[in-house]
Amino acid sequence: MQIKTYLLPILFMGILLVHGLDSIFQFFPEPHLQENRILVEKPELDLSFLDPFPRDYEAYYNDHFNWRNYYIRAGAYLNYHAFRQSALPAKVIIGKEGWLYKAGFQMDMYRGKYRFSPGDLKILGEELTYRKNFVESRGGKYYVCIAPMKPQIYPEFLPDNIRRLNDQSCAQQLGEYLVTATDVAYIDLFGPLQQLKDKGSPQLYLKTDHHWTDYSGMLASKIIIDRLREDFPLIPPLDTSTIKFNIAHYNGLSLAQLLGLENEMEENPPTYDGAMKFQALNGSRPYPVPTQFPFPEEYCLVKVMPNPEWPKLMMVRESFATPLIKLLGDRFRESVFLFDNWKHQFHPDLVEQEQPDIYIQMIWEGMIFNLLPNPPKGAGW
Amino acid sequence: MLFSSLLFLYVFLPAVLLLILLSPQRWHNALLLLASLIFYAWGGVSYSLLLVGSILVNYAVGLAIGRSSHSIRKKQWLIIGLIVNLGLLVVFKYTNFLLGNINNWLPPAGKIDFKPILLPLGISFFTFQAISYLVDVYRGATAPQRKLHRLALYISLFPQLIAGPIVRYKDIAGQIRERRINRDLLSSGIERFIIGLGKKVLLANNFAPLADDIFIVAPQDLDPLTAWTGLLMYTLQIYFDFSGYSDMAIGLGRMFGFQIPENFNFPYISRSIREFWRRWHISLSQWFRDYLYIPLGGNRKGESRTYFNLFIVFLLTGLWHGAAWNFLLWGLMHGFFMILERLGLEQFLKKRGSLPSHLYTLLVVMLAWVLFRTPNLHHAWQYYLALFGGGSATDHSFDLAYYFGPDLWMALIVGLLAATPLFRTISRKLEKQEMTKLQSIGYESLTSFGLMLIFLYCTMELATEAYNPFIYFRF
Repeated sequence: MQIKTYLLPILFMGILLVHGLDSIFQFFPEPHLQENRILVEKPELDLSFLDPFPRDYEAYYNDHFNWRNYYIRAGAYLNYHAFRQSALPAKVIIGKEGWLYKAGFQMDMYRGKYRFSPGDLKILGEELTYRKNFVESRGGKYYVCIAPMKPQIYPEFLPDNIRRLNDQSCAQQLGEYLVTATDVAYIDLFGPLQQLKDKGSPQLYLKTDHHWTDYSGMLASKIIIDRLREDFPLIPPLDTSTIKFNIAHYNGLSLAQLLGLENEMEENPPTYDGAMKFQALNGSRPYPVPTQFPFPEEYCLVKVMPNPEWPKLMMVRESFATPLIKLLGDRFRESVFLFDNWKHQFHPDLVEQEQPDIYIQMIWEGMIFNLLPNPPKGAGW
Repeated sequence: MLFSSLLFLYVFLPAVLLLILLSPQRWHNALLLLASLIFYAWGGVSYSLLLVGSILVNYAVGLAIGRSSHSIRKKQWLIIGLIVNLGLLVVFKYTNFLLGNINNWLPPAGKIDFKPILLPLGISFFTFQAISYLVDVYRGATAPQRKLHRLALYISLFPQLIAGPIVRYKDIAGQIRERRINRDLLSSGIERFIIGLGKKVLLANNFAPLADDIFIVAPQDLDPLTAWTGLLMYTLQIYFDFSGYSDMAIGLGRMFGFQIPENFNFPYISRSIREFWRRWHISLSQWFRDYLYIPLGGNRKGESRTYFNLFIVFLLTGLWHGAAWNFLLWGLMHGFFMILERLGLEQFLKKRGSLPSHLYTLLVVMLAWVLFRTPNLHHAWQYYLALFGGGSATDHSFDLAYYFGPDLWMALIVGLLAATPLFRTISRKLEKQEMTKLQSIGYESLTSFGLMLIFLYCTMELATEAYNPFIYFRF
């Protein structure tokens, strides 16, 4: 008797049947996974044009495959424990000592696979010069500030097989170009953050997320304020010794959640004392929030201070500026922080309306290709 | 629908398998035919009419050949059948190529304006099967099929419909008429299917990203190590991709009671190009041998005619794979070395032991894959230069280390070993060993659970990863 001739069909059919039955009756609830995207919706069957239906239905089925999240979690767990590598190498890279890095376009940028061509730099220079001239024509001053990607500051935790093809990143390319070929004011965070980290500062970036920590936010605020004070001496200085930090204890954050490994990892970053949260803001603007913008309550934040001699700030920002908001907001007579849906566009109408003394375009390095009119395929998140 | 898609594995396959296993045997052909038509329609609803048309025409022509008492009449019907089948192939597969090349010679104002025709799924495969039916009927090797649904099932049987193996009618006519599904066949079919799925998902899909990324780089920027790595990755990818698909087709066939012929037999261990074609895409080689090479006279009409016949066969083998100059040259390159071997190269290498023969064959096969993989002849030429040092001097523009994580290393080691008969030899030795009943139960349970783990691992990879195209679908 060959036991395999019984066992194999029973096991095979058994798996398929249990799977099928569970997809109908849902005995096992699926674990949650953070995907950063909307899953494909069920397509409608149009009998007059059937050709696209199979492709659309398959995309829907793959996204809603029963036990999909279990499989993804199992894959992440196996890859992490067996190989110390990511189950989603196109999205997340597992580095050393529990550090995770955003993969894909941003990692290719870091490695130097994507660079600005001289033509790109010229286009960017012209665009940013136009923005600067517009702000200046309304009596303000325009600044560009780029938040570095995590591997720029913490390359030592990247896996050994990741190396840079070019020493100069595209953000540094742009920074250098702005300084040497234009008169756009560029606030460099790369060098100062690297120096502070080398001196032994507390953790500057989250281990399991691509963002920087509150501590880094404070340092960036200090660098920005110091630079602005060169042009606007009335801005009060930022004394970082007065700012209190606690050590928080979380499970793994967004990159770990993407892998389904949040329970396997932990995060203990320096975080602001509760009073430092940006909810302490006291103004508002009725600007319409873009449709599908996921953080409508953060779209436009305003802080008003009772010091009419201080300048007015307008910052077009993204999530990296979040830990800067309270510290900056306390140093201007009015501060308007606009989270422009990662478009990084110029807003001349708002400049007209707000008439800021200072306009800062704050952009995360991983998104700077979005400044080009035709960014490469895959640019962005 | 791909065999390695979640929808096929968890909806289509269990539904069809359950229906077949639970229904009376007399319904099996009808159910399989229905499943096959749905399977094909899923890949292109509009083109299903083409498949149905092909079935009807070949059914009618087959009957006409069978009913003709006069040999000239039979021949006329055969020619009509060949014209229709090859005409379909030419129209749907080669029109873009022909018009594109004509346009290259025309002045800009006189260029022919045409809308590119989409290649219907598996047209090369089902057309060749239909031709084999007509020729077998014409030769009297088999009787014409009077039951339309049986011929329809032969042409459209979903396990081998879109990527082979190309099953000759006379080899399967008896099985369509009568076959039985038994436990042994079902079990061995499941085993073979899972092995094929593993080859595709766990090996081919692991080699593909690196091969793709290297072949997309401008060859002038590739150093020799990177260029050879890309070629090695593609060599492994195409083998495990295609042989994996064939294993799945054979396995599915067995689950439904069919014995589909083998299509691969460790081609990369061949000692000559002649041997390679007895081990690679065996069903295509046999088709060309039976329906082209032998009718042209084979090797019975003298040396020079043999070389001419080989030239024709490999020219058409190349063209069958794709309507592009690259494929044509790929076929001719194989034909050229086949002729060289006949002229004495094979004997020369044989005398020098097996290692030079293996190395020579592998080198020719790999170099020929460059033509297969690159998008045009210029790129192929530049890639050849890169292989031999004519590209970049360093790997600065392409960072190999980035790709070589533990999973790729593991896939590479397993892949290199699995391209040889090592695993098969070990498993056969184990199966032949005298075992106590308990040992036997332990061994078989272990292999059964091992196969299920591979199946679940593949599901996990498929649920995680979207990268999953089959190379041979474009032919």
